[in-house]
Amino acid sequence: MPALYVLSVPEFQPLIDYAEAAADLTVSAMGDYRKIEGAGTLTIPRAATGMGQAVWFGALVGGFEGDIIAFNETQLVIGPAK
Amino acid sequence: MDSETTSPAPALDGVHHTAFATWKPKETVEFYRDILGLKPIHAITAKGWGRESHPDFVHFFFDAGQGSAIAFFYYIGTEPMDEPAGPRGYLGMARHTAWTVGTEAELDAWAARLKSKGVKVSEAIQHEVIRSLYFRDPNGYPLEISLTTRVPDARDEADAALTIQAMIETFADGPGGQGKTIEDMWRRKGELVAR
Repeated sequence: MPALYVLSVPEFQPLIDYAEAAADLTVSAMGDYRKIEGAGTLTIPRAATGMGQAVWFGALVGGFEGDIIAFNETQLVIGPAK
Repeated sequence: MDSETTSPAPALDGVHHTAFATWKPKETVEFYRDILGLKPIHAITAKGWGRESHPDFVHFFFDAGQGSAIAFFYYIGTEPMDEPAGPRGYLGMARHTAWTVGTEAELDAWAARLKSKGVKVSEAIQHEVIRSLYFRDPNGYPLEISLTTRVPDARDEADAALTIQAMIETFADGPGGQGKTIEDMWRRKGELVAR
């Protein structure tokens, strides 16, 4: 199952907020991190987060599981590991 | 381990100065003194000294606040030396000077001043914990003025340690990354966070 680890700090909170509101994503706490998981693919559209590019392009710093299908200025898509 | 490796390192108390070569002494002075308004606080002049190849020079310092300075060497009679990769090459891009300001108003004031003096300056870029203006001096050296928007805490320190661990476990020193990618590093980071 694709997963994104996000450090729970204010600048990455928009990722967590988006995932908590998204029907196809789940969020669980792991210490100072939040683990965002998607059943099929894990998709986060940048526009929905309101994140500026300089922070957005650092969004994977917490690490991930799976394969990156897309990571560009409009969206992050992580699929299951092939 | 001997006592030198087991005892804590002595502390550093901030930057005294960093120094750069220039072959544009007049433009450099006009930029730092007149455009940025940094006071020249010290200048050293020397003829040779020691090694035969060491040129005569002027070494001059501008006050950059809190006891720190930015300094230049003008090596008299020498041809401009190529920067290791040129000011716009990767080394000149990575090695830069970032000063700090204390308030949003000061950051705005710097943007306004630089623009009013004809300096090409970026919009303020919001990073994770700082907001920065970017510009260059007449030598091509990259400069940055930053406002801290969040003081990194223990979470950031622990996270940085894991990122650094993931980096050095993924990539060996040397060119090319040995076929490893940033995705490999991020996967390793995920493993470290999860365990």
